[in-house]
Amino acid sequence: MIFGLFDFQVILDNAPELLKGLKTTLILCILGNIISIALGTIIGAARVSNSKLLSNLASAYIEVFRNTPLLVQVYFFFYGMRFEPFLAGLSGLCTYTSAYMAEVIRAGIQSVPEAELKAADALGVSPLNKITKIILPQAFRIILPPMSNQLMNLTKNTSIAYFITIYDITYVFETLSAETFKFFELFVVAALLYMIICWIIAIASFWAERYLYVPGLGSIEVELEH
Amino acid sequence: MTMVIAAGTLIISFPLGIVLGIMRSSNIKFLRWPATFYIELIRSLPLVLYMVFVFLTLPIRAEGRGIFTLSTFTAAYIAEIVRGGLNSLDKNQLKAAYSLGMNRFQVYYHIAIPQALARMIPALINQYNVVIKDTSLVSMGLLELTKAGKLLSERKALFSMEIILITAAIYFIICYGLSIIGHFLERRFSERFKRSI
Repeated sequence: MIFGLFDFQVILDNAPELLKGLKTTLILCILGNIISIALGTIIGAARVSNSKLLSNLASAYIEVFRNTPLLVQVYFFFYGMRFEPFLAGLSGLCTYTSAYMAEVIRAGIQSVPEAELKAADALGVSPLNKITKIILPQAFRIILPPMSNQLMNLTKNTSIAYFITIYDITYVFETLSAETFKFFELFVVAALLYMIICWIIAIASFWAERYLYVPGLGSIEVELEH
Repeated sequence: MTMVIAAGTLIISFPLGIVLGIMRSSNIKFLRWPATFYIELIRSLPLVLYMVFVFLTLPIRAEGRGIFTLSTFTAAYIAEIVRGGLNSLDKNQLKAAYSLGMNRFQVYYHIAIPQALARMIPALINQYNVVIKDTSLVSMGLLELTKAGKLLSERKALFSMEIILITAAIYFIICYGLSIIGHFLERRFSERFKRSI
């Protein structure tokens, strides 16, 4: 009965368009994730640094971009700075997500106990080794679950590109359903495409977590509960 | 405009979210499964896609569509917060209440919900912070775009730099204020929680 109502033909007919939208969304998603992790790491590190100036600048950045809507940021780059649509969307996504990412990374770095750093100093570990051998391996394992959360948020947020005429999945959905009036079928397909991307991220993060698992080192949620 | 939509969303999504959250954590399968399905479905959708779908299909006024989208969307997130709050309760208290002869409704109304609410407040404030930011999608995105006759390939100044900066400042003041209140409440609740243990 429900399969009778569900028109697969319209999906097959428009598959090239949908794939084109998927390609744009994927590029936005991958570039956005890489850039916002890099930016977030720098800002998160600046946030916990000893320098008053750096830490204040970083927290100003975090507060400003976390407390303004993503759409306003994207419009700022699109209408305000007159960027190309794709670049504007990417910049908006990166500034917004990197602010959240910075908070996640700050929490990860701060979760390494102070005493361990003092012990490292006492043992004469060099500053570089302290970061690469002590802080990062521990922080990374703790950061992983909330970070994959942010990556999935970014994936869903790429749909904002619709507002600035980027040809992504949402835009394809809107134009195609205006042409064919098959709202429901196209909506299901578009939603499934987003879900698949999110599932891939979730599974990857699950595997990474398992692979990096060290007994006795809990995830950040466990830390917060205690 | 933003405030109308945010207020409407708040009023509708809160009870809806509580009902869904209780259904989600209930023992009855007929209640739990639909709620779980709804919550998982909504949480895995991008808001913009859902919003465009609703705007294309629902034949009511634009403000109503905005409120409908945001409140059904937010309710799923609130339901998860409610479930978290209910899960954090001391199970023995509920058992004690049942053994005192209270019925299911009384247990929820007098014992479970007041305690869970107190613990949920920081998370709820956080969620409404997100809602206020998301109203921009309705008020600045869809409404403006539909008014402006849709999609501007040559981007005439639909929004100028000044308008964007002022809007950003207004949103910043509201959201930053809310997040400060949230932090304050979180600290107060965690202190009280520690003292009571």
